[in-house]
Amino acid sequence: MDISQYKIDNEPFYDAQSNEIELYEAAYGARLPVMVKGPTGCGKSRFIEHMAWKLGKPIITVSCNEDITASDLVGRFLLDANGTRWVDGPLTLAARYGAICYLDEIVEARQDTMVVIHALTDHRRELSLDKKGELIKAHPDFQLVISYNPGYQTMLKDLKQSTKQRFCALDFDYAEASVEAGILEKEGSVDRETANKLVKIGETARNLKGHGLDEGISTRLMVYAATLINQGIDPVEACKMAMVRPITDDADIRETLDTAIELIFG
Amino acid sequence: MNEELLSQYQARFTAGFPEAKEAFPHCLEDAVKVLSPEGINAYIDGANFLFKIGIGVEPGLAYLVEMPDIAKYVGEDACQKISDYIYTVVRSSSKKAVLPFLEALPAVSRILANAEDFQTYLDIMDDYRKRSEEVVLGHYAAYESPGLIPLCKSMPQLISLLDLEGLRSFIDFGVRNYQNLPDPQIEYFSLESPDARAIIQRERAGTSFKSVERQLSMMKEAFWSCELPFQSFTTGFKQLRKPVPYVDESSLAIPDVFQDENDVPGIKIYQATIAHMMAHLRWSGELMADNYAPHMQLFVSTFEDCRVEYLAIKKFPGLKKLFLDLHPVPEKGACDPEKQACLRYRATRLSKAIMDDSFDADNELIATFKKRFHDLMEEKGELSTTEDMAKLGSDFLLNHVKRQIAYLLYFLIILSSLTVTIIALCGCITKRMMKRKIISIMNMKPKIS
Repeated sequence: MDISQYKIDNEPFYDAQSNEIELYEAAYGARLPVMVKGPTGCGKSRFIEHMAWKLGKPIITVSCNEDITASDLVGRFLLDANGTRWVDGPLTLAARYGAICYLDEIVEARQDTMVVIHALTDHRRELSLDKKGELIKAHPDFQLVISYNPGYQTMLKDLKQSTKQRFCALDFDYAEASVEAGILEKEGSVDRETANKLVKIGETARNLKGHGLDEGISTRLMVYAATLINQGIDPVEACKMAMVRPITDDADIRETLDTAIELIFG
Repeated sequence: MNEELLSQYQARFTAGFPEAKEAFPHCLEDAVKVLSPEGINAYIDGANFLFKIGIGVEPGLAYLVEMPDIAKYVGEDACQKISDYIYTVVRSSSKKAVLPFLEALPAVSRILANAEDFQTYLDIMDDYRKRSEEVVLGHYAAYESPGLIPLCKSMPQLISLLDLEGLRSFIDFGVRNYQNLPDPQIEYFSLESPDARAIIQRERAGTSFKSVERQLSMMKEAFWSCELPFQSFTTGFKQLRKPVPYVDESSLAIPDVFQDENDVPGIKIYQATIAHMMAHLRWSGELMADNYAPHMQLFVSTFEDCRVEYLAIKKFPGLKKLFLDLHPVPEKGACDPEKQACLRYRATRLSKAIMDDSFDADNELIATFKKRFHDLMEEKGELSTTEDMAKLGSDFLLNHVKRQIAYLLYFLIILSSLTVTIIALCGCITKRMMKRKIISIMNMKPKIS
């Protein structure tokens, strides 16, 4: 198995908001499991990719959803021409060969998946493959990282304290205006003035969180808008398409955000 | 108008009332400015008709005076339409309503401003008259329509608040609910009953606050991070002092309805109003109004309004167009300084000049203070204060007054120099005359002697 295929060759752009890079490096140094928390599109996944690149470690990312089971993470026996064959799941691969395993939006996965990560995230650092009768001791380079959006938690979908208290956590939020504008300049290739306007629209929409909007406009959507503008689309139209239409179908909220765009772009 | 044409029209005008004969030439002067020759003929025929139908001189006089203005807005066909309508009213039991009907027409025509809507208005009125005159104790049209006169008297107010559909609904409600109840019907059409107020509120033309409340609330919270609640006030009824939007520590008071203005829809006017109020809330400080003379307060407020709008535009550039679309533009010379103080006129042109780069107020003082304002805002931006504007406002008024005094002094000096010159001239003339007289006396002396 060539784990190096999971390495990231080119530096993913990431502009630090605070001291999260040092904190993560320290956590990785001690191989502590890390939980990154924050709203959608604020740069959690980008940060982990950036850190994997910075540390020169392979990263295996699993986007969790409600159909993900423990077997999908750990591995399973598959039938092929020569009979049954064990195939490692992403978590097993990472633990066996020493990669960072990044479970994105972990709360979306079924509850049984949480149990399998417990032994990997405490002092034991081991993974039991019951079906195979194998106990894997995690590779020294292995680290488990999960991401988690507190805005989505409900009574039914939340991490148990027994899971939460196995991780150290980094809180993420949308970057402050100047940092976010810098991101848009870099990622969306727009000038500073346009980037500032896009950030202002984002801030306006974020003020509506809890007043009709579940989530504000993410940095990711702003990058989309910037990209469209860079493609020659009229800024007002680009913003409506990338930043308003995806997040709501509520006519009043749309109207409010459309007005914000028109007022900000003049 | 030449004498021949006047005599021709006077020949056509057959009214016998002396008041009518006296008023006719003056009214005709106004009429020829807006009506074609055919229109003038229809106008005179209409007047002749009104003076002949036995309802006194007043309706005819009202027609003569108001009709040119009405025709200007709704077309000269209105002369014939109005005559025809009045003919039907006069033949009914409600002929006392002719005068109030005519008196309401200038306001109605000015607001409707097109022939088609005007015809619809006449149809609505005719329909109401017929329905409210109907069977009372089995006598068809034996009793006059109880609400027609109060309705006509209320019409200027109603037509300014309701569109034609709203007016139709308002009248329909009154007829259906008070068909056989004359007193409540009168009260309703006099706009004194709670029902009348409720129906007007329901049918108001324009954008009602209720219909956009959620949007405005979101806008207030999203754009300005303000959680103060709105409190709407009504503008639909006559009040001693017309309420205006205001903001205090507990709420934002805004009108219940905004009608479209200068092609700006009501919702946009709400947005502009809220933006202006929010800008004051964010950037305005407090001043003791008593420390400033009333005229000074006006200019201090003007500069302060400009400052908060300037800052709001910096935050939301799209507000500039909105504010300018709603800003009045008094024409240069629209106010005569010899008859009026012209302070509001000057304040309006000042704020227009400050806010609109393309507007040239053609006034040295305004240009100077426009520059001072922009220099200060460029330098201080959000750090500028209400006190800065108080200084600008006071200085502007003082400079304005100084200039007026200077002009007055200049005028007095010119006047006094002229007087001195005239006196001197008179003195010379008198001296010469005296001299001549003395010479002539001297010349006479030997003759006498």
